[in-house]
Amino acid sequence: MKSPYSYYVEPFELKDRARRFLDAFAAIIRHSNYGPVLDAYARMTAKCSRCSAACPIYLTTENVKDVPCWRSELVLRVYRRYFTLSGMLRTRLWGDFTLTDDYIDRLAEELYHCTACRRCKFFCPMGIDHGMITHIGRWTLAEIGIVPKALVVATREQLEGKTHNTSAIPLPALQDTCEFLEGEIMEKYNQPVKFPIDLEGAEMVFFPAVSDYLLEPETLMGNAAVMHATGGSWTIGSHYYDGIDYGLFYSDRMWGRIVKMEAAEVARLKARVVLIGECGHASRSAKVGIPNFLGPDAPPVINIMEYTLKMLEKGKLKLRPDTIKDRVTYHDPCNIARSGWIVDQPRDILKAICSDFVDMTPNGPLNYCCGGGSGTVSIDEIRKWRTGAGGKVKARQLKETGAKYVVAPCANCKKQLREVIEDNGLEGVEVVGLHDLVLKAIDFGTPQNKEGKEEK
Amino acid sequence: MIESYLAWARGPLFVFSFSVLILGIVRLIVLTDISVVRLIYEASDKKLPVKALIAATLKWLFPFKQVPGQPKNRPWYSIVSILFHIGLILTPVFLGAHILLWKSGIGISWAAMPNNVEDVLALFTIAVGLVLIFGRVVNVFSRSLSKFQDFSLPPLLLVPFISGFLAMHPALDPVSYNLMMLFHVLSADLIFILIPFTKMSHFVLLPTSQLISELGWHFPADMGEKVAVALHKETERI
Repeated sequence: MKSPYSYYVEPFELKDRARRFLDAFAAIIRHSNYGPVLDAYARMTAKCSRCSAACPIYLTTENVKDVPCWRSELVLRVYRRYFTLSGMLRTRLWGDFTLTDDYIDRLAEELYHCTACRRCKFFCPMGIDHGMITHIGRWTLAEIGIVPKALVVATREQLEGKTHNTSAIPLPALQDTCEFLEGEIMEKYNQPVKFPIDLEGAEMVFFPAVSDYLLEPETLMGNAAVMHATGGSWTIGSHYYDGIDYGLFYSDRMWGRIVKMEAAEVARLKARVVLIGECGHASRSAKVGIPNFLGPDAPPVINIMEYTLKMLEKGKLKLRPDTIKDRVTYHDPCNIARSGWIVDQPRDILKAICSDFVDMTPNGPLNYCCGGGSGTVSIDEIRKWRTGAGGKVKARQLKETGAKYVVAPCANCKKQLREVIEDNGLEGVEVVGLHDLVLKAIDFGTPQNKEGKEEK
Repeated sequence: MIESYLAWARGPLFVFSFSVLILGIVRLIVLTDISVVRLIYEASDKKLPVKALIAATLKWLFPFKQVPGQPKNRPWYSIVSILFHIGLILTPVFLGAHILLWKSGIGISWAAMPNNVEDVLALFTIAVGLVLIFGRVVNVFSRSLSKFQDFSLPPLLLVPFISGFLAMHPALDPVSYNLMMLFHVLSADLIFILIPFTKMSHFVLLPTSQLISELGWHFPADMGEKVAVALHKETERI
């Protein structure tokens, strides 16, 4: 079946789509907490169009379809028509719209033109969280089989595959990678840094975006080096070692199953804390998902940047100031910055090691999305849209800072920003993780290998 | 003839529409409160960022200058909208003639504002209301977002202001006092009836909107399983 959408989908059942969509919507409204939220939103939307100012996609395309409120209305309209008394009355009295296959196709296309970065929430006088509406709409679509293939294939491997991770990295390959990284650090920094696997009784179990093992060796080396320098008690679990959670982007059912696997691994290793690597959505999926899906006994969730800053402040981690001479800027991943959770921590760390740190404007909770949020970064076939409509504003921001390094502590933001830089002709800007730079600045307290200090 | 219509509009019809307004508001408050309590009860993670929620709720009473330097932020639209709300609430509540009616009707009264302030405030509300309508119509994005309700409610809200002002100033009144008053009272009655059922109800819902948005992200632990059962997908492979 040729995909009717700009992204690939697996073949889905075409029969009775509208009825099945409404069944799924009804089940979600009934069993989640989204029902009363939709009810309040359906009454309140003032159509003031202030949210248009918030959306980086709209600021680029200036197409009314990209105004957050317009998109939310697509979902709210279905809610009003089929789930409110006035909607039912109106239909009986003088007819109203009917949910058709075309309308579902429109939803499927438009809901993946939103990166669910939730910036518009800050612009809505009524407090409407358009990202949540996208989230609900996508879950409903997923229940009738409409999900970008890239997301569902990765999630299938993670939950039902042999390797239990989205990049399908088998355990032996992971062990090899860790050994290789240990060797690298030894060679460059002359430090016996370990990547402990299955260390029972460790305090924290580490879940980075699993793709880091393939694509971001420097970040992982930085993570391990911080643990080594501070004597952190951590381990990687051999049964489950992936922080990525596409469930957050298309189905709360999957979201729950994935975070439960994280918690199970923590329990198996008799650990106490979920430690998430440099990844925005992995952090949010665990931070919000674990206490909700696991209940009161859920393990606490921390991000590695929180840990690093805490150690820096305690004096357990020594960083050499002014190690990074080039100009550095910081990109806030939406999933950790929007709620105000991780905003200052990475900046404090960067200021401790960089001599020329500049911020983008706006930043922090009001940052612009990189354009690859909510899983769209994994959908390669929409790259043109992502780096164009999605990434233009970010590209302009990056250019304005004149920075050499842009620190993006998020696997998805990193991939997206590299493509934004390539497609928007920003040469000479390098995307790195926070711990890539930290690694270069750690003062291990023992003599350094002189050759190893050379930057590549 | 008009006198009897007027008597009916300010008598039985007013009682009816005002009752609809009050009962409608009470219904919304009760429903919202039940929702909030239910949401918190159902939520598995009950920890809420209370301070941030209160701050956001208060901050949004003044929706301008939220994001300094943001392009297309439409600060004037926000400022005019606040001014419109001020006029909309103050004028009818503190108008001397209205207070007299309350006093003769149910015996309660409160301080009225001076006559000339009334006039200025009424004209001011009409003016900012027109600016607001203009802002919605000329801005292509506001216009394309807007539905019938969004276009029709602001002009409707201005009708009692215009008719009330003209009735109070016979020299400007193109029709008779009674006819103008009939317009005034009928439009006000209509607004009262509409408030609980249209987006005008936002004044009741606004105080809880930030809280409700937050509570959407706090959900029952087993919602995924329950949805799966409801859709017969318990054993379905991904």
